[in-house]
Amino acid sequence: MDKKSDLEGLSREDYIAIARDIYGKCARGDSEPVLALFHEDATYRLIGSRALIHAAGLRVGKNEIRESWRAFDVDFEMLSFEVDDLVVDYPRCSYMSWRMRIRNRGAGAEAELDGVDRLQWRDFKIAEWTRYFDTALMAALGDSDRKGDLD
Amino acid sequence: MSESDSLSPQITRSGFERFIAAVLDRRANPALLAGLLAPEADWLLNGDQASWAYAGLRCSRDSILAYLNAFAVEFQQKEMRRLDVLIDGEQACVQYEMRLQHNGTGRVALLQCLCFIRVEGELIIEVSEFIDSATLFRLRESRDSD
Repeated sequence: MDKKSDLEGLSREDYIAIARDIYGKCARGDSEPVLALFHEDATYRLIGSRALIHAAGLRVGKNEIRESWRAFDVDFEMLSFEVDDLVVDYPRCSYMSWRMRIRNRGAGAEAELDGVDRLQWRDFKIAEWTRYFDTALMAALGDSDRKGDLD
Repeated sequence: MSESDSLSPQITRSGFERFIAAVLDRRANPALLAGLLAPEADWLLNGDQASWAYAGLRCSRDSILAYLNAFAVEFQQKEMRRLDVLIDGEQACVQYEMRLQHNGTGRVALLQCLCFIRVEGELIIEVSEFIDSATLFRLRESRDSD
């Protein structure tokens, strides 16, 4: 899937299927096949202040991205993930909206979170991944010592 | 994607791009934005409604304008910069940043934002907006709380 010849000539539906596959693997914590789709110098950015959200900020390169995902997995469990909508200008860029239910592994608090990922592609590999979501909810979930739902 | 196959018959791709620029230019001045909204338009500010009143879905032009007016009373938009626009059919996704100042505390921050805009003809029928809400909350806090 990471070869140009495998991605050229894809239809919108094909692209959506690939995108869903990426998210499915991420949701299962199966990150290596997803990282194979990234450029070595790719960036991953969670919108928000790192002072408020530990995982926020810019990560550069596959190693930093892998560590960021691992850190997220340590703090949070993804209970469900659904792809909602897609706006795409293949092969340049796509915006995918999603909804996930996550649980803070420490405090046990759960929340439903809506967000959007912007994937910038270069030469049929991901060059930039930027994630937008309700940062206040994520910060509250990260800080929460409450048991139970935040939403 | 060519102009003719990309959009509704009533708006071309370049027309859509100009339309988006106008929406962002007028966001801080809801009275000017009114003419771009369909009467039954939906505007969703994604976020936890329990923690901030601006979050949630508005289902008419009047309620959208009320929300934007309330937002403008609390936050003054000092700067708006479009970072990226992607048009796909009658829907566009816009990545932008706003420099906002809280009118009470005077604090200023640059916020990363994103919205989906869906149009019909030359009117907005749906907006779904994401704002860095944690940073927005920080603007409300007095400097003493730092």
